[in-house]
Amino acid sequence: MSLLVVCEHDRGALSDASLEALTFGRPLAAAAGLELAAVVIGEGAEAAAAGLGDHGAATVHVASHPILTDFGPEAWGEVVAQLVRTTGATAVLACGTERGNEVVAQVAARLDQPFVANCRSVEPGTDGWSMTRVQWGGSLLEDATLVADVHLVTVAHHAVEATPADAPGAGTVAAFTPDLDDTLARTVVADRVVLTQGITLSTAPVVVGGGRGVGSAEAFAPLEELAAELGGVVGCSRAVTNNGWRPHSDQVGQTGTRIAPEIYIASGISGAIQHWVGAMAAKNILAINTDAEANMVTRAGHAVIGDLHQVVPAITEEVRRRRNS
Amino acid sequence: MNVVVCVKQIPDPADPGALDPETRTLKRDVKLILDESDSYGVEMGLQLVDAAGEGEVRLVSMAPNNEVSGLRTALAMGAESAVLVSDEALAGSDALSTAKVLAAAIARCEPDLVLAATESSDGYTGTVPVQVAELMDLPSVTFGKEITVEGGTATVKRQTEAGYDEVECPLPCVVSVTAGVVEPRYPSFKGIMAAKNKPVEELDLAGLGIDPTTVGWAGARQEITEIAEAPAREAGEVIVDEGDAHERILAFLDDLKVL
Repeated sequence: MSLLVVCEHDRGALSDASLEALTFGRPLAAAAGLELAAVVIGEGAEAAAAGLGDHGAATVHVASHPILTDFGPEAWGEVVAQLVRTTGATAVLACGTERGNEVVAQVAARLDQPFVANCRSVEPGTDGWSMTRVQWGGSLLEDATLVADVHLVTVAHHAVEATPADAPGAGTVAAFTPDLDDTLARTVVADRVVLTQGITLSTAPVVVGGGRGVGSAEAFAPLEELAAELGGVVGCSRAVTNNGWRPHSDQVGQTGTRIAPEIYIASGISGAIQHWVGAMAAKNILAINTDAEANMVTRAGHAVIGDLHQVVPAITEEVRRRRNS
Repeated sequence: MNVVVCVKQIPDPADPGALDPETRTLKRDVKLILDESDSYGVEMGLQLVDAAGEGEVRLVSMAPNNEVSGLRTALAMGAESAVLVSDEALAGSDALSTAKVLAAAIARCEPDLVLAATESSDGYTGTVPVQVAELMDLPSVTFGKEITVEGGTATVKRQTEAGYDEVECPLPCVVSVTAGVVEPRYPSFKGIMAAKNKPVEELDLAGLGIDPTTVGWAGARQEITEIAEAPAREAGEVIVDEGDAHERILAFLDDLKVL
């Protein structure tokens, strides 16, 4: 019996999130006495399968079928459901990304099994699996016991750091041809449009965020400069997009992008819960705010009580001065 | 064109209320409001009906205690009517149970298009819309940021990390929409007054033909054993800027090796 890890890839390029799921799945499979298996689906799956053994997978199921090309949640969900039935897997794990949660939700509906999303920890047991998941944007922790024939779980994105296995798995590739009909290809990707090149808000190592305190669209220029010096990008709070100072694509938060940089420099951001949800995975947070009582300030690892319009340019200048000396 | 928008009524995120030690869930007997995430779907539905020149927006919601205040907000925006499923047996429903109930209620409306938010503000698992689609055997598209409908086909811009995919899908279908992509209209005074008289059909499980043992606490195969506030990140080092804060920040950035 196995724990099946759903691995996301884009035409053969495996996502880091998948490796997080494998990293999280290794001790879980061991504790549950299950074999760690992985599944990769569609065009480029074989390329994505290589190297999964290094991350602990004993078996890698490579699913291919003429209608499986790019990501399609219905088809992917059906493939995983069929694989569960064929292999007798008793658990399915994915990373709680948008795609991961969507695929496992499909699997849950197809297998009529409960699904627990965005877990921080999972402990298998004979009377059910206990798990802790986050709610209300990470402000509440909920412990639940899941009793199911097939345990369907996603691990919160960024809850673990992806690392290769100390003891690699065999990574034996097993071809899987699912039985799919054309109704699963009802949604067709007609075009793929790339708007941003290079680093994106969700992958940037440094994010310089601005909130209402920035004051205007023009006043974001010094934040842009600092972000450029640090190899990062600019993000913003909802107050900023509401005022039309930045596009919604720059918004960090529950209704925007969730970031996980090495450092988040939050300037002039009060830190409402919805913003915090998007920012909480940052490894370090530096808040710059005139208000010492602001949520962002009281939650940040480092805070400067001061005027961002002075502090931000001063940092940029200091970075440049050091570079040139 | 008939559009059903799934809406959730949640405790106000600014004041989410207390935890119920007995059920280990958030107390939902507080005043509930329209989940802001859902206002985008309502707006998008209204715009699509306008563009089509015919049809209407109906709301479908599931809530304890026959709560309607969130529905009235969406009705005031311009939705024509609502279906509200309330039943004591629904307390404790997980995502799949919720999806079963919504799917049954939506099916009665025979919509051309079903809209839902990508995820709710409270539970935020984002699983219900795709499960509704699967249970109704409808195609689904998630993370829609723009929808156009022409000749029985919906074309949806599905948000991706680097941009968007243009996805085509036959009607009827389920589309989950991301927040912030349209500007939800504020209800006008006239809209608010009109909303008071718009029909809200209230149904219970028997009315939907759903066995109460398959939903709620009875149908959930997970038991919530504990719920607690997450430990807050402890406040760290606070510097009051006296013109030299940047130097200390540089030292910090140096430590992090981001320079």
